[in-house]
Amino acid sequence: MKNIYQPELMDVASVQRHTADVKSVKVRFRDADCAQQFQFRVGQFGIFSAFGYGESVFNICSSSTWNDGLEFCFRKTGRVTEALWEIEEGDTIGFRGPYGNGYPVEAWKGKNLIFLGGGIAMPPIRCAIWYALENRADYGDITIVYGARTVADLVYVNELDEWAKRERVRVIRCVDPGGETPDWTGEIGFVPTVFERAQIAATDSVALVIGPPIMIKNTMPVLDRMGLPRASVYTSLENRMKCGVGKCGRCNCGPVYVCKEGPVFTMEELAALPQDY
Amino acid sequence: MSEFITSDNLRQLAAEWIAQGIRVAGPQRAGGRVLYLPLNDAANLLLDGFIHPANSAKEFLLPKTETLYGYRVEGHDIKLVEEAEAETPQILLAVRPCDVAAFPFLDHIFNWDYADEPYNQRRRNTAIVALSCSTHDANCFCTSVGLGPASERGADVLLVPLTGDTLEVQCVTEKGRSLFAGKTKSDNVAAMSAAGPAPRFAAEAVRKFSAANFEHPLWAEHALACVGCGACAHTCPTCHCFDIVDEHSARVRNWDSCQFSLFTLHAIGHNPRPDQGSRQRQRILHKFSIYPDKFGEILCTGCGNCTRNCPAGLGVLPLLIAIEHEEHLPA
Amino acid sequence: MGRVAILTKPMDAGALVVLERESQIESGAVKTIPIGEPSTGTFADLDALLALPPDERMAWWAGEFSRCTRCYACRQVCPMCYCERCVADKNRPVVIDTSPTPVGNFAWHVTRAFHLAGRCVGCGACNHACPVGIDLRLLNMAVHRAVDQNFGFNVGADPKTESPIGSWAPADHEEFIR
Repeated sequence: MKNIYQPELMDVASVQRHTADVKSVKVRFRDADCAQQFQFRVGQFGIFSAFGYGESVFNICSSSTWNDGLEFCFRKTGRVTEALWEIEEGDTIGFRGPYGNGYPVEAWKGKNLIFLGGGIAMPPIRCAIWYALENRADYGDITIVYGARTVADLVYVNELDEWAKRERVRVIRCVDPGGETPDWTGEIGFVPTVFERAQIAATDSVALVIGPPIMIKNTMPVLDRMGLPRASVYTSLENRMKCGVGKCGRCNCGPVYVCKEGPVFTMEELAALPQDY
Repeated sequence: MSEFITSDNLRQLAAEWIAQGIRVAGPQRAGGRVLYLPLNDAANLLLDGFIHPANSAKEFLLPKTETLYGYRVEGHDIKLVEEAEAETPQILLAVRPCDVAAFPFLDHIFNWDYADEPYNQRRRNTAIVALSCSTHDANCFCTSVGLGPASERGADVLLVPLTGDTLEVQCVTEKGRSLFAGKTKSDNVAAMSAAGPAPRFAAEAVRKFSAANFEHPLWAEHALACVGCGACAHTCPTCHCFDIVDEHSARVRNWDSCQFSLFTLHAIGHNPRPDQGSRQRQRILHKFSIYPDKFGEILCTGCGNCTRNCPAGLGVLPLLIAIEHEEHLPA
Repeated sequence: MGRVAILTKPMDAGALVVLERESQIESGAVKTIPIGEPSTGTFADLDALLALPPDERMAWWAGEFSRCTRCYACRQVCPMCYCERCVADKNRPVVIDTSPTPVGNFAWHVTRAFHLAGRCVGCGACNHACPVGIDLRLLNMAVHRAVDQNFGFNVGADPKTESPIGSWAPADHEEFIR
């Protein structure tokens, strides 16, 4: 029987550098059967191995409709991500997954989608955006508000341009005051402020909000004022994980194991959880 | 009619098992303590003279360190090296009922949606012979969590000491019956188990309070003495939290503890449980609120090891009693 | 907080001397109220251990450390272990294996004993705290003896004296430098 802790070997297909400390990596399953059979729900995460250094948890930031492998995006922060920073095309890493509950894309059908993200939180939103664009007829208007501290901290910038060209998609990018460059043509301001200025309608909408705690804290009142119920606002939680399968006892947020019953929660569900994250 | 064995014959039987290449483990003296250890010489097996070994028997199902698999770095490539299956049969002998009752909890969590094969292999190859308690100490509270000195939960066999050197042999499962077939004598005498400690607190009161009082000064107050080591978790029969690390070309699973400050530390430096109060709260919540809500069982068998081993004399018992007192205070 | 008073067993007073020597507490910041009798332990069991041939001594320590689960109770209760981030908890790079294997446990206990050279006051808290009864006191006594023999240093004396572990004097032995 399979050892659930043993990863699949993945070949690194390409590495893209986004900022001074953020890279994204495309990987393919080495095993052909695995490659063929692998499926995941957008919003699920994987546990990626840098052999010799350890494992790290990242959202699978490619769309679930893409067949040529997976993508993950990370910031160089600690021991494992420093090791992953050094990998190149042709290297081998490990992957376990997919884990977690994923986004309820079925429940989102027919809705207008509002995506709000800050900094390194773009990757878990990116997969949902691509999924919606690939199933365009299932979803209404798409609004994307994405910001970072400075222009240099924005990730997937070329894809923001792509999305802006699609039908009924509005992309607003912003940087914190003082983070702009002389040729910056986007908005200046924090994501919640810029979002409120944009006066997006809340009718028949769901929102996906991912970012640092301060951004989420300041975005919630804006969504409340818009009239968006908290059960229609989604986020993806980060908590320290090791096993990913509900056994090592580390990631629980009160009664909820983030790796199994999350990481995707509505704000209503999150409000019922203790401040354990 | 009941079945009986003398302690001499039991040790003789253990010696036969050892000679057959079965890994036998049981209570023995080491380092001035009584510990569950691998048994090399059946003469060292202790059947009385102790309340509870200082460690727990979980080590034989969930080792303190375990290689999950190995790997070889070959240029840009990695070769995985699978671990050989844990085939050696083992018999855990003279294990206290409060240790044995923990095994069904571990079975549950290690098979919750995902089957943990390293654990399951070991489990399949293990037979468990429990030893009922004739007495208890001030740290025992098995009766407060639905167990008792003669609990058969999780056991293949339950041994109940009689006066003199005889033990009654109560076979609970087929596996247990096959272990002792032909090794016992029948008699009409029935062994009387000890009554066990009087209940120390009401578990339901603890569950109610913990679920409703995430922010309460009681957690920090009681944690003042806690030094943040892992003595409680490592000697607890039900604690199973583990770490996964890469060491010496292998991915290894090690015992961890929610009391360590590093347990929930994010790489970015954020820690959801930044102080000992929040970490103590997690321990109580996990055992007395979260586990019961999710799986219908309290993740504690009342063995008292945490309190016995705690350098500060804490463990869970003083906190549980304080919580129940708090829950029953007039609103 | 105001002035603090601590009821001190004899070894605890020594711990306070070390803390003052290492600038962790101010001179006079703590009032000690001595309780208990000084222990009259001898070094007899250390002598017996050191009389064993090296391979037997090694086997004995290997047996002791085989029981260690890396609960770190020894470290957490030790008055001299106050590092904000212990060397065993560092991971960039990993200096001491975290796994409770024979190698990892040896590395942990020997490193800690070295980090306590000239600092351990023999309070015995580590022995009391160890759930599996490893005789850490013997390890620390062996190091203590080596420090005493090589540097003539009394750990519990005047806090203004310099600790051997953090200082150097021209008269220090150098035979091990080749």
